Amino acid sequence: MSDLSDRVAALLPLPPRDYLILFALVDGGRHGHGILKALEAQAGSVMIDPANLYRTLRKMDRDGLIVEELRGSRRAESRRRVYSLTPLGRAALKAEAARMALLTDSARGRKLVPSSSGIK
Amino acid sequence: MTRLDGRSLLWRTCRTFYRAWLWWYPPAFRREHGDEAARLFADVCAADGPRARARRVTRALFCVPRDGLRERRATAWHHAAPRSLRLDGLARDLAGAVRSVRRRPGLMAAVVATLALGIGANTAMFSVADALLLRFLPYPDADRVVYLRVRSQATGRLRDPTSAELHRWREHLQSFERIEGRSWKSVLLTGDAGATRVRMLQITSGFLDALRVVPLAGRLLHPSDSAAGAPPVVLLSKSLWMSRYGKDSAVLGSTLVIDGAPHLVVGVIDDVRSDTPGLRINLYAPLPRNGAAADAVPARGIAWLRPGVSVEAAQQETGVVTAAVGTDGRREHGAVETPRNIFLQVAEFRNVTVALLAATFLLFAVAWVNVAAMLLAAARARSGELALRGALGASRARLVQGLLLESLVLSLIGCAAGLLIARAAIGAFAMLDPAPQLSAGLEAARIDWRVLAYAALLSLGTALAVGGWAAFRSSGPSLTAVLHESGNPRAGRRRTSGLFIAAQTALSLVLMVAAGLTGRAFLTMRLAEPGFAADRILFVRLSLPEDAYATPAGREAFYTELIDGAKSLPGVVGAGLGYGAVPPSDFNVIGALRVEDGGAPRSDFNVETSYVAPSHFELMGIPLVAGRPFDEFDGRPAGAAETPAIVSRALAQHLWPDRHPVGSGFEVASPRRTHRYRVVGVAADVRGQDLEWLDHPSRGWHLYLPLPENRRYTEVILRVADGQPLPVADLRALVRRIDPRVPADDELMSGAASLFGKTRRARFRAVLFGTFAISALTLCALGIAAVVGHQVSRRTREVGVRIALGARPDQVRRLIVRQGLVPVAGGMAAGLVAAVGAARALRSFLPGVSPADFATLAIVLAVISAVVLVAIWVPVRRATRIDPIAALRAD
Repeated sequence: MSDLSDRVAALLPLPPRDYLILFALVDGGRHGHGILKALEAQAGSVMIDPANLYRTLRKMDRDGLIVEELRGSRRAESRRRVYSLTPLGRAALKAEAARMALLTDSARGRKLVPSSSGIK
Repeated sequence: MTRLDGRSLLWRTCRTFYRAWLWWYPPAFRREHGDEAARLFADVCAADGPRARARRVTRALFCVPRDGLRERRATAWHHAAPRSLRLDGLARDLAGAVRSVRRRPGLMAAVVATLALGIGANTAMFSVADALLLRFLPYPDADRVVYLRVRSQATGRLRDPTSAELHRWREHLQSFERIEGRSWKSVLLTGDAGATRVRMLQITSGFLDALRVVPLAGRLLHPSDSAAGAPPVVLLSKSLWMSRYGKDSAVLGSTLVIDGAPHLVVGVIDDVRSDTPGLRINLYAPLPRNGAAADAVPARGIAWLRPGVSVEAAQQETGVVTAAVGTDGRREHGAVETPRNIFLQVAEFRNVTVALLAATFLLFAVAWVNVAAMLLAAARARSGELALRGALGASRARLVQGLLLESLVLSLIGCAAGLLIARAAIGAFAMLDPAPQLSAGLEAARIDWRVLAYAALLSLGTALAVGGWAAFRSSGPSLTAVLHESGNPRAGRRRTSGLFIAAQTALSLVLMVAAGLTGRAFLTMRLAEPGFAADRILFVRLSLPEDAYATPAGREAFYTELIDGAKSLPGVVGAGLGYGAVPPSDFNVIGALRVEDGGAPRSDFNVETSYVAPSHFELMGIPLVAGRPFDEFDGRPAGAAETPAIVSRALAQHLWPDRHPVGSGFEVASPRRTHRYRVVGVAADVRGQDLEWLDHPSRGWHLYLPLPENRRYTEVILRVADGQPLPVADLRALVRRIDPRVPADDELMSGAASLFGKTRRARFRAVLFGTFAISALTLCALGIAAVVGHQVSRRTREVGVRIALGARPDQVRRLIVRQGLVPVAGGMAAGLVAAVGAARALRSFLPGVSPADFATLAIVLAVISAVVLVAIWVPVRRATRIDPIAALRAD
């Protein structure tokens, strides 16, 4: 466990895009299309370049944050990679969320952000 | 399946585009994610609205290269593999190519040297052709430059405007951005360093600015310099500054005496190319802008059209405005003239440039064939390695890419070396000094960006065409084929080698024949019998200063003193005056010929003419075959109705084929007046202008007329006794002693030097063709030796078997040589046909030599045969000195 937290600490802070990708995978595995749609929905008007998305996914896979598996038929046409969180990824997501919550709280203490009830 | 078929055209277009654009990413990434990313891109694009889609595509155009290169860099650094493996595809192949080239320095040197020779010669000739034919005007923005002149409405004749007219035009004409003027004249420069004739250019004050000339010392001309009454100033050219004043900066601010008048030196400028080819300008002085002098000096108007203004529009305005301003009441109009390139118009200049450029292309082709053969041989030597790599999974495209990069590296090195050769060659061309006009063009040849681009294009083309072909040819075989094949070349390969040999032989043959014929033409000219004692004649062309020798009496005194003094010089047996009297003469009588009771009239009569003194024929050693020489009374008084004349034997035979010429008359009518001549004598033929058209029907025609008395321009001719040295320095010193203001440096030479000065162009052609031909033959021999050597080494096993079965080595050798000679014979036959065609194209350079000259062809064939035989024999001999047992074991 302490090994996991060390590795998570080494990864923090996560780049925003990595965080959003991990966040998109919280409810289960998704393929590239789903991730891209989720990212674009969250990031507003920013457009994500597909190849760059796969580049990021590849890197996160190498870092052990996510894992990819092939699904679908053997035909390349319909074969898709599905990405899902690893325990390390989930831990990193949690740690990053906590780190950001801490930051948001301190900002709120200085009245930089309206209180959460205000949003609701 | 239905989904796939249901994809819209838009979707498929987006996918295809994106998949191709992903080229920026490393191959490994593309293999793994390329298709999926492209499909994803197509999905989102198809779902987007038009504006969002446009944004997405724009973003992809920008993001993919950026991220792709990042990914390439990242993968290069991430792997902990050896260095070469860290680089991906292209870079790794490039590194491999460099390594492979470095591993075989012998091959590299051969290919680079061959390419350098081909590219160097070709680039050098291209830069000459560029300077002569394409960039002949020495002006910036030359495509907008026109000449401004004045056309007489009555006669249609053009004259140069006066400086005052130019000035008026500059104020009125709107079509031109800039109007300048220039006018050149020959002036006499006197001073401590002796008297000399130089060319002076009178220019408007903005002329040098327009040429973007900056002074090396001092200043350029100011507008105030050209005002009436301004103190006369002059600029020196760098060459005159160096040759006459030893680069002494003290000359600035000093006074030069030009045509007797003092001029202040205010600056020195670099030599400026003239737009009259061959005209070397040494002094620059302001063109008078106003006052009486401005109306007296005609100057060529040089104008830059405003951008966008056509020549026709400018012509229209110039004609109207000039007519409105009026030029002294005469019916004249301004005329816009487009500068004409004499190199394009005079067939000789154009042809020699094009022919030499073609020759370098032939040389380049030999180099090409050679390089292709060497690359192919090198790749074949590695066919095992290539096949192994192919078997291990490298695609054919990958193998071709590697080999292609290798030839690219080689041709780039070859290109760099070739440019060095070209630079040296351009200097060497100019040193051959073919003729004033051509020399000027050669000196103007530079290696600039156009030439660099040309050379780069040549080498890139070589790499792609030759290297690509060799790579494609050699990347094919499978591993099993190579292993099975060892030592047993397929017939197809032998045929390729045969084609190499045939092509090289043919190309070299064409060049050798061209060189042989031009060389023979040069020798024919050089060895021509002059017809007079050319090497016993020393003469000097004099032009007496106008102000000091205004009267005939003064001139007569000078000439008498000079002739008397010359006769007492050591070795001199006679001296006399003449005008165009030492061949070749600069003068011709031209017009419509009518012969008194003789041959048919002709309208294009043109005969070389000399004005000679009574003693001339004795002095020059030209025998008179009929009639008498001139006497003192011939040609006096000047302007008599009939002039006594002496004709050469060839001319006499042409005019009166069947009767005695002495006493007969003929007349030559030019537009201005008609001259009537009465023949008093016939002289033996001499060579003169006809040295350059020895096979022309007018060969040997020469007309001698009596020398007018006491001219300002004249030749002093000395006859020197046999075995005595020509008193060159004595004659020069004599002229200077009598009058130091008379220049005697420039045109003082022997009769032989004068006559054979005509052969310089022929020498230039012969030397250049010869150099190209010898280069081609050397390349051809080396190439054939390499190909045959390679071929034989691949047949080691076959040779071993033959010897083991009882064949004697020399029998085997003869067999292989015979096989090698078959393509040589084919190449020679093809080359001979092409060479005869090429020789016909060169006919204008071959005075007195038949394009199918048997002796030349025979010698060339013998030389090529011998060289090729040696080129085949040497590698065969080396390769067949083998022990059959060792050969059979070699596999």
